[in-house]
Amino acid sequence: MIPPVRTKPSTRFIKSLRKIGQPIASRVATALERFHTAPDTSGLNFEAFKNRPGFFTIRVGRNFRILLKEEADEEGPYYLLVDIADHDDTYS
Amino acid sequence: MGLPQPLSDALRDFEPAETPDRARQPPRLEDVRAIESNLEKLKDCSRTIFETMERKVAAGERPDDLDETIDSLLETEEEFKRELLPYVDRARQRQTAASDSLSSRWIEAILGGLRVLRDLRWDLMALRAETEPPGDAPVFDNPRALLEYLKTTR
Repeated sequence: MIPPVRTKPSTRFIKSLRKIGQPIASRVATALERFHTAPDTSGLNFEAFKNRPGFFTIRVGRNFRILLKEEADEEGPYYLLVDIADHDDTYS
Repeated sequence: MGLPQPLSDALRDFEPAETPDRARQPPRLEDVRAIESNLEKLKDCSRTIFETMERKVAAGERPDDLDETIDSLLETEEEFKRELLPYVDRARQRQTAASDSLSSRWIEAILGGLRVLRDLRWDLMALRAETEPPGDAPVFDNPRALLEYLKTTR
């Protein structure tokens, strides 16, 4: 059985979420719910962050991404929600 | 303070010197070569800034200008998007078979510059995560509990 996804929001993530405002915050909620229940959902684009081992990203709409870091505690691995920020994919 | 000085200088060179008249013409070979060369300088500069910050973090130091550089990179990227994407749109509209290759190279160089700004910002965000404590929020295995927590702590 696949272990459930576990996450912990960092202080930085909470602060950034507060700054970005309600319309994006609703999309963040949807993305996080999907990440917990079906991380392989294609629209999430859950992928390794290319320049930093142990870091990952998931997509929130077209212009935002959440940065994640793989961590572990006594109960097993979890993802630290590091930050959320603008990531324009139109020029990638 | 804003952006580190070498990056500000590289960005000043990167901006295309396009006048309204020139904007109606396809890009010239020398313009394309100039912007491609300036893109390479911008990439080098970005690499140097990241490596300098990374060395400081590896030595247990938190660079004073890390937050400010990340914020300034976002502001600069937004500003460049507003300024440069209309050029890209015009270049795409005027693309013809004869000018296709030069226009494509020019467009790719402009978009490349925006990518450099965005990717440096994200690399620095990941680096910053290694310098600051994660905070005392619990670990959630239930997404609804996580969302409820985020709602109440915001």
